Amino acid sequence: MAKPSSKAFSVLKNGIMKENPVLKMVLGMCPSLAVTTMARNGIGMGIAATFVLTGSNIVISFIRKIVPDKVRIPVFITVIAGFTTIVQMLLNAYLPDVYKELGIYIPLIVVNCIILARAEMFASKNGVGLSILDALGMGGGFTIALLIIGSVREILGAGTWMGLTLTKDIIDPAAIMILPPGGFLVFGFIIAVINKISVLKVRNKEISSGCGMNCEGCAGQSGENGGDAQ
Amino acid sequence: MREIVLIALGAILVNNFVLSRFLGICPFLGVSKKSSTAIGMGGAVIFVMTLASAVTWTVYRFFLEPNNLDYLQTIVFILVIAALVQFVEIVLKRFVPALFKALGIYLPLITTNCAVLGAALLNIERNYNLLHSVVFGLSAGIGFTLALILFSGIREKLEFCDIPDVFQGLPITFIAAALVSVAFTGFKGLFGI
Amino acid sequence: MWDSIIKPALVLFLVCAVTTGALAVVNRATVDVIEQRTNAEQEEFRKQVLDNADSFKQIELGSGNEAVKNVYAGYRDGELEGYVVNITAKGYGGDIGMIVGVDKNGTVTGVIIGDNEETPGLGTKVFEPDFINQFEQVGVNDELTVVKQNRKSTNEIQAVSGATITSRGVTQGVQAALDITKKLMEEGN
Repeated sequence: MAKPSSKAFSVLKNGIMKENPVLKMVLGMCPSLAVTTMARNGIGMGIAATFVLTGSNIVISFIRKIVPDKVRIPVFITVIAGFTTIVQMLLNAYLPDVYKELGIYIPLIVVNCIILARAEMFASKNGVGLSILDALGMGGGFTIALLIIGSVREILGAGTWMGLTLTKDIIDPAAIMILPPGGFLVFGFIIAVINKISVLKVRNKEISSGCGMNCEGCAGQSGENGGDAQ
Repeated sequence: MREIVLIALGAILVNNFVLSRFLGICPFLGVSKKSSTAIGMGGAVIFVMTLASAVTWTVYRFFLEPNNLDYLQTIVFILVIAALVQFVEIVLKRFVPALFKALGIYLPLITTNCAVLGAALLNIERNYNLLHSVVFGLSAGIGFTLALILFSGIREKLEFCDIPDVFQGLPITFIAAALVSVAFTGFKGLFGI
Repeated sequence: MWDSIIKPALVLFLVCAVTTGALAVVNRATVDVIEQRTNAEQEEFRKQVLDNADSFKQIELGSGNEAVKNVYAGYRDGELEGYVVNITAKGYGGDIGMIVGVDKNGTVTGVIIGDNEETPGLGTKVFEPDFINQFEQVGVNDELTVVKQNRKSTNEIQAVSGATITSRGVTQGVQAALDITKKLMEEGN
């Protein structure tokens, strides 16, 4: 494998696995808990945030050399707010259902810590190409995390998944899972499952090496286990 | 008057920003380890939120709306909030250095605290007037502080508990938050809100 | 001077200006789509709740009931067919937008739920036909009451279990629509 492409691949994968913004870094908690009453809303929010993240990463990476350090943060916030408003207008015009479901959490993408964190930590230091990959990786990781949380909550709390009836007619769903407390609870358990897996992983890693490339399978598994363990 | 009481109780108890709207989770987790910092952070948030509600409302009703610029709402609001936070930071540094030191890195985080922007946006969405907006911002801030202080009390106790390995740290924190949130759902339906 | 003040200010200003410009462009491109969609949607809703009518005209209301947002009279070939009432009801999470159709005899012909902040999958169960269909055949002279179970007559509405507050809010919304229609019918509008 050629070197640049392997770097690109690891940047992309980083956000989904090793530094998953929600499951590992615990960033962007507000939307992760607020809109995940249904799997579908989780995906909607994930994609909207990925769009904003990609747009802002591109622009910030592009202008990174001319922005003085002093006004760095206000400039980043302005760019992010711009893209957030664009997403808001586009959703309102073309996907009104998603717009209504997500409501106030669409403009609140602007204060999603993940986006500002990537602007500050990645896009302001790297080229446009890598910044796009970083945005797609982080956005993908965010979307996957929301999908997992949303699926667990929807299945347990409403007995449905993506609107399909699963257990609704067999067992009475525990409505508390789609109420606010359920958000905290499900997330707590998901993190516990990930902790459990990564403790093992850290032990293994100490023996092998610190290259960090062998976490591929475990983070993927952690998602599935997160669902099963519930 | 009745309306004001309902807005206040609604924002503090019934639809608590943190526990039922999930606004301001980052600082809720970040500064709730100790009661003393929780109180300081809460105070700063109450102050910024009340001020931000008043300023953003005024800007929206007297500048954005008359000029058909309401699509600039998000961008203007966030910049106004960022400026206010800077202002509070300067004032604290100058006059209450002890508090400034305690809050340290969390003050700039208020800018990205979705509770502040959330309150500003909800004020407009619900067509509140200036007084209602200020009451809403103030009460939402009080609600945030209440949740933060209650929760920091629990976390201080958690320090001394024997918690299974995998639940240590964040997981038990979230589960504790879930229980506090359950307690707050008891307020639903109170006064018909 | 240049590096410490002017350049940062200039860059910030430029970024703000460019962003604002970009937003203005996107806004121009979407604002008509949004407005057309909203109007078409509202018209479609009115037809759905009062399907006998083919044209609608807004009725001017004096101030009074704050739950009632606006009222349209529905006509077919110039003849009054009934009314469509836009209601803002109180739910569990916030306001619930509702559209209620009432025919010229004072019977509910349809209820549509619009914008709301109810808990998806729980409060929103109230918006499903199982609950909403209970309002069919309810008339302007009925006093609606919400019961937990064992619905006996048309003016008793059975709440969705676990979502009593939403059920009550929607029922009160329909009641408000009935009240205003009754008033309009008595005034001979």
